[in-house]
Amino acid sequence: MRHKVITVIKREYITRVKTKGFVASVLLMPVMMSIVMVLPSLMVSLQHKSDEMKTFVVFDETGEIFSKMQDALDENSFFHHEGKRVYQLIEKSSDFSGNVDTKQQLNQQLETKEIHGYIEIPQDVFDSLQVNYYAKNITNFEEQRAFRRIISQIVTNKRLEDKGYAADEVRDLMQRIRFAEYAVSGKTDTVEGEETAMVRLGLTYILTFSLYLFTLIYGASVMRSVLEEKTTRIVEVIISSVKPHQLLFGKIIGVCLVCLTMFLIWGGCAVLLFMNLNSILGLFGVEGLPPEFIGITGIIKSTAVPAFVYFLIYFVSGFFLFSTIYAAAGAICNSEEEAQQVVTPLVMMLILPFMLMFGLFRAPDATLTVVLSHIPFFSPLLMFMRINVLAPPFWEILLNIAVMIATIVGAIFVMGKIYKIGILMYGKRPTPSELWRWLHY
Amino acid sequence: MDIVQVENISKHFGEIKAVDNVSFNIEKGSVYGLLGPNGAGKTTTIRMIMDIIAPDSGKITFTGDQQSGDFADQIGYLPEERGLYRKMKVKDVILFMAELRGMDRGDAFNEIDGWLKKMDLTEWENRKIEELSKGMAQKIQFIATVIHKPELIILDEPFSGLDPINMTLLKDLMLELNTDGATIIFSTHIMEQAERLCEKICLINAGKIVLEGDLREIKQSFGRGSVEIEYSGDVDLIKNSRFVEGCNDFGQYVEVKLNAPEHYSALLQELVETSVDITRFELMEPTLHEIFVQSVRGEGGLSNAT
Repeated sequence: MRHKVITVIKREYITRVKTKGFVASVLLMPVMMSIVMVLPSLMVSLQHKSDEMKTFVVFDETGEIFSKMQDALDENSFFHHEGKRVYQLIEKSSDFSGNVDTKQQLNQQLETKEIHGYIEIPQDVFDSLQVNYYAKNITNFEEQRAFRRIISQIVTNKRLEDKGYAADEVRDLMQRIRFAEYAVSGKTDTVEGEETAMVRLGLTYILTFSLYLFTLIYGASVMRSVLEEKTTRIVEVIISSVKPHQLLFGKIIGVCLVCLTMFLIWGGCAVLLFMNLNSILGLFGVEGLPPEFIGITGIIKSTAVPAFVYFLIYFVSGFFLFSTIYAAAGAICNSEEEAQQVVTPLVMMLILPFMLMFGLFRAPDATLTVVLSHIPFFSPLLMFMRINVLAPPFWEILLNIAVMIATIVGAIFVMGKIYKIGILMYGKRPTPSELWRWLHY
Repeated sequence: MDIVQVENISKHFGEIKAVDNVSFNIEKGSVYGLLGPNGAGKTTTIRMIMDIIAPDSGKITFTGDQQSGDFADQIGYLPEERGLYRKMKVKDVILFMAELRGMDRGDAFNEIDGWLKKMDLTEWENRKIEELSKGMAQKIQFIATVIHKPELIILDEPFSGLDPINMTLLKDLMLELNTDGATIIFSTHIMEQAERLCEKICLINAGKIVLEGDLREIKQSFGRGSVEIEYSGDVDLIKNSRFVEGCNDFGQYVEVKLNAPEHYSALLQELVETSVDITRFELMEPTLHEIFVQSVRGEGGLSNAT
């Protein structure tokens, strides 16, 4: 009997792994992930990395800021591309404020892209601290920030000097403190810097997203598989050889193994990548890692392994819980459309914690977060998130895993009964009260 | 020796009595017809034999050759509604089904080629099921049903939707398997097929057995003592015979109802001595179809017999 369950597992596994879709997702998923993570900053860097000259008109009513701006732009790498300055400033000293004609003329130039923007520095800027920036595109934050920083510094220097302070000295005195963060878990303190927190957050985000995505996709795959066997009546032939609960288990284990295979491939690739980071960088002509990155790889090494272990634990338990219900839903329906409707509440149970996660990230030990993370349907995502961000006491994790296992056993018992009867029932979908009666058979 | 003994099985689904106190024995090596209109309880009975669902009461006993292990491995079952995993390749599907029935993968692998050849499907072995026509898929399913050489083969409407050539092919294969020793349960509502293939039948209607036993004996017991005569001459000579109860003249021939079934030879003798020239004299047996309709109507409730 046992080897027949293995036959079922094998079929579920091989029919999924031996598809182009599987190979494609193994290859594409990391690519997509990196695109999602890197794309926004990549876009910005692409934008100002072009060697196209950008012209800004500056109305400097003070008469002393413009030349200092030119100097500052010369020194700032943001305004350069391959050693050449790609931002050009044109001074207009005429009175700007209230001059409608000039403004209209400039707006027209903006429209024809003759100029990129114009900056108005009023006479009283040293008191009012007000500078106006006009451009077609005001969501290019980096550009605005660079101009703001430069003008701000010039204005501050002037204000300091007017009061008789040496600007360099003041700046030296105004240095920010270094703020080291330590994540305390159990007896060991781990040094955490800003980078660590970012790495942790990023890693948690990627892993939680995978948890959510793969439970959703492959849970539905279990459901479709149940439906296929039901509608083609193959199930009748199979369950005369294996018991329904064995078929159900074999199916879920087979599909779960498909996901684990994928995770192990990605995990293995990531490990290989990090082990050989230096030689890989060498291929691109980079000699070793810049010193600030050496710290980060160390952090990834120390946080990624436990994170991955918890990821596997919570994926498997979450997958078993959700896919058992998916299977039962498939068993009581006669078509995929019908089943999609039935599982909508279940999908909500998966989407909800994913949505909540972004808010709960900030308060991982708030009562609300703790309570939600112990609701079995939310645990895979929220508890996993908490473990990564905050490291709750170990007994809490153990308790949570125990509750998860108990819930899974309960779900298998209840959903197994529904599955067993559902797969042989055709025609009208059972009502909730009929389902309740099935549980007592 | 009986391979299956079904004793007083009953099954309810809610208020509906799907199978009501049904008993029959199936002799090893026979072709047994399980007949009845749609919804009579045939499929439920088969499902209980297959141990897919448990009867509310009664019991089913198997006496297979191999007492050890699963009897399920000794059964081949072709459900009424067909279907295979659409995305799987022909060979993989057959191998999977064979393995599920406890057959060694290697053995199954060796058998497949021969079967595909018999079915004229050799060049399709690496295609996916969804690429096959309905008839081809049905033949593949037949292979998957019998590849593990089961002792008991249960075929639920095996010929539905097949063209005459494939129907003959499957029928011949079925009889070949029977000759090799397999017992076959053949479920259908098409009586002509059962009449040609089955030695014993069980006629079920509304969950109850209406008729059960040897097909020939059943037919004889339903013999209504009618004779068809093709003739030239005076029809009154036939009509007025003392053995004839009634007569129905069709012009070319008459259908004669005898006053007792055994009187047909006496009638023939009498007519030979007269001036009537007889070209055909045939004793009519009731067809299974007629028996079916008659018994089911007699039971008072034929819903949709075909």
